[in-house]
Amino acid sequence: VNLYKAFRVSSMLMIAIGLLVLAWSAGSVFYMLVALTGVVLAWVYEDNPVMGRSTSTAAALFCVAYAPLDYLMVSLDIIVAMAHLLILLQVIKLLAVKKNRDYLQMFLISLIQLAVAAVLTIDIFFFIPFIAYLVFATWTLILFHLKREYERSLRLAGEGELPETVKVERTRGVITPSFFIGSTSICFVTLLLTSVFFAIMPRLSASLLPYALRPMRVSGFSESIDLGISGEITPGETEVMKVELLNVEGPSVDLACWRGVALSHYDGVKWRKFSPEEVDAITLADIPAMTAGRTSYTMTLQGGKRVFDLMPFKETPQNTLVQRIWQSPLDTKVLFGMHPIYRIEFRSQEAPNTIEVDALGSVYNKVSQYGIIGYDVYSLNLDPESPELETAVTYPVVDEIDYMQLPTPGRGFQYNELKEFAEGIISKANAKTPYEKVRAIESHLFNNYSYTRNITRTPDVEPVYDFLFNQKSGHCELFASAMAVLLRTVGIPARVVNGYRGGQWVPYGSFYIVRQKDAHCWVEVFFDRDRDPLNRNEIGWVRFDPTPPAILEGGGFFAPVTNFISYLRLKWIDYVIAYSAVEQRKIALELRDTSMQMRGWVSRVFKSLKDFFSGSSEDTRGRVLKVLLYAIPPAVGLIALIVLLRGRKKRRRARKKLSSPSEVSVRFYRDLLKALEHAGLRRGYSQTPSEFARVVASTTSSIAGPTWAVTEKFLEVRFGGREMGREEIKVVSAAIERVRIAIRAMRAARRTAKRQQAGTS
Amino acid sequence: VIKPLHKKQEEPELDEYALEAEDKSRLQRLLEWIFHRKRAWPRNILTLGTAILAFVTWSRILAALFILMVALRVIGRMYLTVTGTKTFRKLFKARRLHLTTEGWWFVLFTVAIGTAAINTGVNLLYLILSMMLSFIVISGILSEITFRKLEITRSLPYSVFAGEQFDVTLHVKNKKRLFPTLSLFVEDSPGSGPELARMKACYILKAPAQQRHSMNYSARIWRRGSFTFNGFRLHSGYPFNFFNKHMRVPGISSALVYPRLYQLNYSEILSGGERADALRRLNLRVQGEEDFRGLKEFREGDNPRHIHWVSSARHRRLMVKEFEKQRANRVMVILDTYLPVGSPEKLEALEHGVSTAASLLTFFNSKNYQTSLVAYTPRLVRAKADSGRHHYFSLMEILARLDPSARGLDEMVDRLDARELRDSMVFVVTLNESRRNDEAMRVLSFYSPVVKCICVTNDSFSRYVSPPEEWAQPTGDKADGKAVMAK
Repeated sequence: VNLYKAFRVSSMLMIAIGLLVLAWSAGSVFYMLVALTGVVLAWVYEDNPVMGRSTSTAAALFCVAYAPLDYLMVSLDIIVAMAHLLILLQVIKLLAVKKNRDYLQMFLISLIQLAVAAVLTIDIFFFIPFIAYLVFATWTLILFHLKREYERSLRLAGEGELPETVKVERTRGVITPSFFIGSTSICFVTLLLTSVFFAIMPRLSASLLPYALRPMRVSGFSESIDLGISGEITPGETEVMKVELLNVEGPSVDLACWRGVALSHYDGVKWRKFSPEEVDAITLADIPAMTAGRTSYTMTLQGGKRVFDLMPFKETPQNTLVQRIWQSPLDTKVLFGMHPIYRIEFRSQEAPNTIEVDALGSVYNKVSQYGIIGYDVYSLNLDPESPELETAVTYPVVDEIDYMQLPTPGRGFQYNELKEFAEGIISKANAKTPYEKVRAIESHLFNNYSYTRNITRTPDVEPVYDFLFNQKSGHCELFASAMAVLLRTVGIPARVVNGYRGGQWVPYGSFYIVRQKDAHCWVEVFFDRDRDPLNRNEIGWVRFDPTPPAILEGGGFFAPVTNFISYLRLKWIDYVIAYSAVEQRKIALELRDTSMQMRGWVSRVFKSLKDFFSGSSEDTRGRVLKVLLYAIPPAVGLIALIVLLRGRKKRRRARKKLSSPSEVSVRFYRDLLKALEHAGLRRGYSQTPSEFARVVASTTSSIAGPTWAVTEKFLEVRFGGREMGREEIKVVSAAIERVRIAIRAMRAARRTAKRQQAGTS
Repeated sequence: VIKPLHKKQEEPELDEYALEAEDKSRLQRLLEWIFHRKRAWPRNILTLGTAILAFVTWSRILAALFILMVALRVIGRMYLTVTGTKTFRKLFKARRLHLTTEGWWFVLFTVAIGTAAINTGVNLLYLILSMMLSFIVISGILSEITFRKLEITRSLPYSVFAGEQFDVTLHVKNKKRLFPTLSLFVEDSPGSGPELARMKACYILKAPAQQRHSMNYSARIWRRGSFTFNGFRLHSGYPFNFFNKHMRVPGISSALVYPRLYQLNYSEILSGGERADALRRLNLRVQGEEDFRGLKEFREGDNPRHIHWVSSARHRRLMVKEFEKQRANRVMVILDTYLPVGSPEKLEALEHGVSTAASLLTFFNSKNYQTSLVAYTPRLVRAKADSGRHHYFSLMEILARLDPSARGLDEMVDRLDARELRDSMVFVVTLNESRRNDEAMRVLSFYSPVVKCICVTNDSFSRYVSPPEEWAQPTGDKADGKAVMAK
């Protein structure tokens, strides 16, 4: 590989990576095609660039002028518009005439492209082009430096106008496989250093400049339920969050319910958090409607962790469930977790200072989410099969919220029919206590109704009634709504909860991937141990899910691969995207602990040594002798081994020295003389090598050429003090071999001639 | 052969690790400026004034300022002293880093990415920032490796004449076991000033590990005498050209520069009767009888005409005749080096005189004449007449080291051997015309058949000598660089 070719390939790859990673991050197939076309054209027309200087300048100016239009009318985002501009400029540069300065500009643009791509994406697939970029950037910058400095040295020597073929020929042998191995090792060290810098660099999020990143928010979670919608529900595959169960092993279907918001008010079509009247009343009082009845909690620092304590609770391993949630940027401020939540600890760099909890127990981030946030949720582990529930009671009003609210009968809402239906179920099941009644309705819906994503509705019929008596199939929102309404008709307070349930269990990292399609709706019912509402001894809101499972989808042939990629993604988020000062502190503490342990170990060793020698002199002497007895043979063996190895190394070095070019050069002439001796050609003592070569040439013309070549080389090396290169050694060896072959042929011919002579005589 | 040679000049002791002004860091230069003797008074007044003010006003701020000033003075002095010690310089080999234009861009861009990372808190920007910082660190490490374990030696030609181009070979041995040295500029004898004209630097694209790389450069030295090559300076921007690193490598060697040779106009010098005589003598060698000395075995290069066939037949191998050397003609060059005390303007005349004498000796030596030289250097040197390479360079050495003398031509003539004068053509090179010189010339003419006087300050000198234009020594920085090399 010559220097110029290596540079061309390496620089093109580096630029291509910058272009493609930006186009991919900007999510534009068109610009990806533009980038690819640019790279291919630049490669094909390397020697005859498509654009001249003036054309490329005009094109670049046009692109710069187009960029504001792109921002205002097409992409509507300054970063994306900038990404488009960078792609276009780079493609123009690629297609234009390139000098060293242009290459430098292209390298700079490609670095900016990588930085912009880093802003636009959080995907693990950024890591692959990042590594590739690092490798090719290292190669390219080294090769570019060599090329430029070599050309500079030629200019200094007055040879600046040499044709490229000559330069290529002269630089042959500079770029060898060992160069690439060496530079790849440099890349490896660079990567190592990068990770060290990344780990120790202080994480600050100063927001010095008034710029907010455009969040690529995931939609699919709603803070209300609208039962009036019909049609096919398409399951979304976008990842919403990743959840690790920290103190539970393996997947747990019962526990995997990530509660979002609870809804208490049903108006016959929609479920809302509160009744519109309440909201209006609060709005009139000049309080933002969405934050009505919310309690704010401020972050506290506990051992370097950013903690929100929502309620006092004495935790034990049995009554606590800890979930680590990595939540993608969502178009809601809701924080998820199993209910009831008593503490939240933030792990990501992005974390709020305040969170809010509404009267229904839903937790909200105070500010909008921009990147992936990570938090540990500490929840109470309520047992839905607890024997206490059998005797528990319920109240219609909990925390001043009416959980018995239903739409006014007669305005499309068939209260009586529903009540009769519910009572029918209860009596059929012979349920007495509230808990039994809840279970009876839940199991009735679960067993007698089917799940479907294709929703059809009878016009002008209340959705729950329509579901229960006409359609008899529906999605989770209808099941939950039906159960809540039926419970309310029989005097049991219930509320509907929107969240996510289950998800894909990834065994590699023991976590769930929760996608948009895992959005779910269920019911919560309040239970108390004491009948007296004024003397509360609550069990709490217990989860009931009347929705039967949908047809399970298999993981497919590529499930292990996708699972593994998901695992990598989780780790990528955990270690890179969401790496924060908390982790830094944790690492520092671990290092401190390790050093303390080391110190302890060293002091223990010293102490044991001290104890060892602190006995009586007789004992000590005996012990020392014992130690020496055990220690001397291995020590002697070790020293002998070292001496042997060093001797071997020395011998090898001496052998290497013998085979050094200058030694070889003297030896090869001896080989030639030896070979010529076989042909009866012996060099006289007074003959110089040239004279001898002339004699050889005059006697046997067939070996004149190689003999002269070897002799000249010998004179150059022996008297000219010139070192021979490996290639030259090969050439000389080949010449000697030719001499040998010719001599062998001559001798064979001579023997044959002799034999023929003998035959004829 | 050579009678009392000029006592060898003491060569100036050079500090191989001495820092040139450009090698010093900005901080060093700033501190030197502050601590310069010129600024001692303002400095002391400022410090003392602050102390007095602090005492009078009893101000803590002023007291702190005073302490700070004293502390900075102490630290600054210590810094200058430590970095100025030979050991320190030897230890760090006077390495200097300079940011290149690309380096400035890269650092600026790194700062920009760092600001963006802090502003947004995006970890991928921190990742790119880390990569860029790693590039900077790796750049420093690799450039350090490039400079490590390099052995640089210099081969000078056998003879160097002032104003004449000669080749210097530099040998760079990379003694590292694994790492090759890539992209290295080697500058020989940096900071030699206008005395040495050469290519700025030699370039090595690759010196593989454990191998030696040789390269040549052409140079000219403008002054005769001893010239010291004061080491090497290596500089490289490897690997990414963010930083240009310099390093001084010791490697002092000195060359004796022989006088500049002029193109003499021999038809003018040997004009009239002298010319005819000289030509007769010159032709003698060609036409004269040659004495038989003996026989030797025929070797490559011997004249086949001289084969003695009878002896060859007797010995059954080729034998050739050998002859006695031609009895050479003699030329004596007398150089008058008299310069009155306090006349530095005449030093140029001395140089002309030395060059003229050297040119005469070169010419006659090339014609196989036996040459001798007489001159005050300032001690009297009387080199006996001889020929050959060794004798020639001995004479050139005398001329190379020659200094002006306070004694004139007349004193020199008094101490000459009459027999030598009788057998020689005498060329007298004088620096000025005077009655005393005329007297001396008359004496010489009495003894020697051919006496020719060349006065370098006379108008007729230009008829004898025609120095080529490009020999004119450029001044200042113009002496350096490719402009000269291109010629």
